[in-house]
Amino acid sequence: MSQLCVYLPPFSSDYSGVCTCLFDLNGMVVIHDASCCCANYVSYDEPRWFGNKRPIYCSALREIDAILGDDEKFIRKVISACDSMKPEFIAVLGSPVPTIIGSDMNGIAQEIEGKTGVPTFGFSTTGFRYYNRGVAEAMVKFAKYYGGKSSQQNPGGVNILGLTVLDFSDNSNAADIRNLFEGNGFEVICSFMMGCNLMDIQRSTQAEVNIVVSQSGMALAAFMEKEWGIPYVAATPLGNEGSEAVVRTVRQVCEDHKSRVLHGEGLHDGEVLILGEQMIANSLRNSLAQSYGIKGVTVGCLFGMDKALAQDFDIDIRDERHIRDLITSGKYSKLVADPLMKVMLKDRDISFFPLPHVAVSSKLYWHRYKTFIGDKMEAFLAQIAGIPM
Amino acid sequence: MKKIAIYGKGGIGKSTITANLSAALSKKGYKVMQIGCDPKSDSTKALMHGVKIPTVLDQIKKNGKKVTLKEIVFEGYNGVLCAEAGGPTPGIGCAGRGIITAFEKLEELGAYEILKPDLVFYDVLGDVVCGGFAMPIRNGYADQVFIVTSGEMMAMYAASNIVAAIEGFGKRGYAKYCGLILNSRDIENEYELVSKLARETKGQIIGVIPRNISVQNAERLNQTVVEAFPDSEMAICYRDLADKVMEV
Ligand SMILES: Nc1ncnc2c1ncn2[C@@H]1O[C@H](COP(=O)(O)OP(=O)(O)OP(=O)(O)O)[C@@H](O)[C@H]1O
Ligand SMILES: [Mg+2]
Repeated sequence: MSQLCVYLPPFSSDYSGVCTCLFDLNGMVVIHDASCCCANYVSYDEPRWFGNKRPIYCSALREIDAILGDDEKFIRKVISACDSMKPEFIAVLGSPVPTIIGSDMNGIAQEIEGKTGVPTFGFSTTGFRYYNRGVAEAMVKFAKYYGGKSSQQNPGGVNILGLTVLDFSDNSNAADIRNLFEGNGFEVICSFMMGCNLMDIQRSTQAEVNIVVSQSGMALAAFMEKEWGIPYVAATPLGNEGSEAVVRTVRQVCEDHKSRVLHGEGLHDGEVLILGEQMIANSLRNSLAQSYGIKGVTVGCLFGMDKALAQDFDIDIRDERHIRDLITSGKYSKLVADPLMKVMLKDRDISFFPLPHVAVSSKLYWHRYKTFIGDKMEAFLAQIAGIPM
Repeated sequence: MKKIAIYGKGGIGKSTITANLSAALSKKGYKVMQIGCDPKSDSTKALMHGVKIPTVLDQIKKNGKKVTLKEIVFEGYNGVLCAEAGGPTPGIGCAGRGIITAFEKLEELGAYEILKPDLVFYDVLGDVVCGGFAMPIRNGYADQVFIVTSGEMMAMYAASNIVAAIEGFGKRGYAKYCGLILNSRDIENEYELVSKLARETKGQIIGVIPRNISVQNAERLNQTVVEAFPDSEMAICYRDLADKVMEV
């Protein structure tokens, strides 16, 4: 029973991660599902869906198709939609039913590509994994395919990796992050995967440094470092001081080409608990340590923990029960988390600092999202630190 | 790394042939891995000298996510790496899905990169009955498929169905059909019958194994023929077949 969710909804899953990455590109995205996964994505995981027209399709998989493994029908439907849509690429995504019956999404993609001549990407998304896995896979696949080795290097060129609405919503955050670097004399070549196009992805290999703003960007960072020798800085720019620190580190990496993960100094397991996305939580912690002298901050990773980013006292959250145990442990006096988690405090003496996250609370707070760069975030940090602004 | 899938009708002799090929090729100095893809999980029995190894699915059931490579891959005769995918209790569950899960686990644990076999054999149950049993011929797994058949009608019927399935998957970049292995049942005109099938399927007979009592005798010793009777006519047959398989 420990895996039962009493307070929290299921978090966004891998197919939503892939869809959200491909939203800005001129492709055709098809989820092989019984319509529910697709509905889930467009209604709950995509703030940009309303008022936008995007070719996201669902295959309307039915019982008999699953029993007979009728891939042909799916392939036919995709090809006929492709004929009228003329997309630049096609992506076919798995969901729970294809996973269980073992549909080979990569094989299907290859077959569609063979018949249409349109580049087709298969994703073995299952619906059983968190969104960040889908985001990571989509970014790596597209960078691998479109990002050709280019002899040209672009000094001062940077890419931003891991930018999605599931972590940053669709307020000014994405533009703010790009502006931060543009304003500091860098050229943002490609911001994977918000506000970019296939040409940007193609040119992304010319960058001097990658800036990884969420944990889901780490896989692409590692790939681009290995493949094209591009070093990275792993940190989300937050507030004023914190953002400047990231810019400074990027400059440093331009000089010595050594990848860096930003960690605060002298951190310890502490009275503040941040539950959320690992990179953003880490960056909040760095700012609290650097600007406000708060060193006792523990990060609880809701969507899996990347060891390379973690302090040894950080926590890989297993399930809702795990969160309740942490809250009742008496160890923490401050909790930074999605507003949905506030009720879990009951009448415990823990101060709560709301940090909405689309992948957790969907549309409930996505229009009240924090702006990550600038004064508002700085004020939020001061509030956590207990310093009146 | 060469990856080969062995298909064929139930009971036709796939496991016997695969285990003898593994044994023979290990003797020739190759690092061989044999993966049984059948809920019966008896593919590697002779290589393991009768010791029943725990299957990948057994271990996942027992240890959940914490399964390690050591718990699912075992060293058998002459260093041959043995694994059994396993499957549900007959009558319940989903055997095809089981194969997929077992394969994903091997992949996730980096079995091929860490153990670095020169050769991998997938010994696959009966016919291609559902998505799961096509897993071994998917992109990234086996590159070559050999089909075991006798001259019996049902065995040849199964073989031609398997060829059709493989051909259907051709557009997806799956493994290629590389020929038939004739495991003789001593029926009249057997070679001609199977030659005709080879022509019809645009394949070739890459080897002929006679029917011989030494197979049962070795079985009783819990060994392959290659191990138990290395100087016998039959052992020579299996070794010749091994050479031909390597040439294709
Ligand atoms: N060349 C042969 N001569 C004599 N007996 C043989 C020969 N090949 C196989 N057999 C016998 O046939 C039986 C079935 O063989 P085997 O288990 O290898 O078939 P299989 O195709 O793997 O079966 P399954 O589909 O059940 O996995 C074995 O008990 C074996 O003794
Ligand atoms: Mg067998």
